[in-house]
Amino acid sequence: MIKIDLPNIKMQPGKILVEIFGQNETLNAGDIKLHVNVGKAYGTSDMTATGDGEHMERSGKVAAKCNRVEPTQKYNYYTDIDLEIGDEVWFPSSAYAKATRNLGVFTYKERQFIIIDYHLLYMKQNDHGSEMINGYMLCKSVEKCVSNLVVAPKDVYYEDVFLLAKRGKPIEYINRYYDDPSIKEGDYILTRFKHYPKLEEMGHKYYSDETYYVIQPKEIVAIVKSFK
Amino acid sequence: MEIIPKTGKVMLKPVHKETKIEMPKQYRKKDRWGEVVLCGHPLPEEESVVSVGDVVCFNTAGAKYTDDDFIIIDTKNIMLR
Repeated sequence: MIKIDLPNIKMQPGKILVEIFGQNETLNAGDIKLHVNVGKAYGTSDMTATGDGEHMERSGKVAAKCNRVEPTQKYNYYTDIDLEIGDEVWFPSSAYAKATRNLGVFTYKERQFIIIDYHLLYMKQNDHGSEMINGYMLCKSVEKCVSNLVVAPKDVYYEDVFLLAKRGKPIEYINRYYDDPSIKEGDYILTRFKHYPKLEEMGHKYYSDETYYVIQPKEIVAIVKSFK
Repeated sequence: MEIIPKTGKVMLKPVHKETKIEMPKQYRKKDRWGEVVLCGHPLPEEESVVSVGDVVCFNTAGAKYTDDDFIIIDTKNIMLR
């Protein structure tokens, strides 16, 4: 671990210093708290929803931020810094894995920090509420109506249809993709693929008890008007 | 399921018959042809490039194949009509 001098820190363009609290070191199973190994899984596993990165940190608090984001070939959309120091932020577990693998965890007065690319942040929350950033959309699975019987089969969900629960400001893609500003909260969206990362995993839900998926606008191919 | 393609996309019904038009070899593959059945709005500052009923040859990059055998593609991936 590297010790840093927090008050004097200045971030490079596109980089955010996030304080992490080791929340996912315990797994909440009802009233019972179980200890888990947070950092044992590596890779971008949450992108495939296989759950290998399920115990990794997904949220933290902004400790220092950059003033601007420069266009980069690494990410295919333009974005602006839209958060303040102290905001709580959510990010993919792969970002945590990459940050800890490449640079390690920084410490300052027993507090722990990681450096994350601003482009990777999903959502922020502060006293004014929560807001999606970087164009990400918060979506829920849509249940299929499979039977009218009282004893119905197990819940069945559409694999590639989601309910758009929350969206932020539209973004502008650098290349062929387009973020359609007419797509709004409450719309049912048909997505290109069937698996998307979850905002939080089971047993580590701090934002909501519901399961939310995080989807980029480029993944939307159509709006579902009816299910008949 | 009733759907509307997103802005800049169109929905196609696959054309499963050999085209009579003489085309370069790479365009002859059957699954690269489709008939437009639904159009999303054209992209801003772009004119509508196809309309319902057109038969188009397309690049399959980024194509979405729906459960009921339709294909949704970007209008940018239409090579000819």
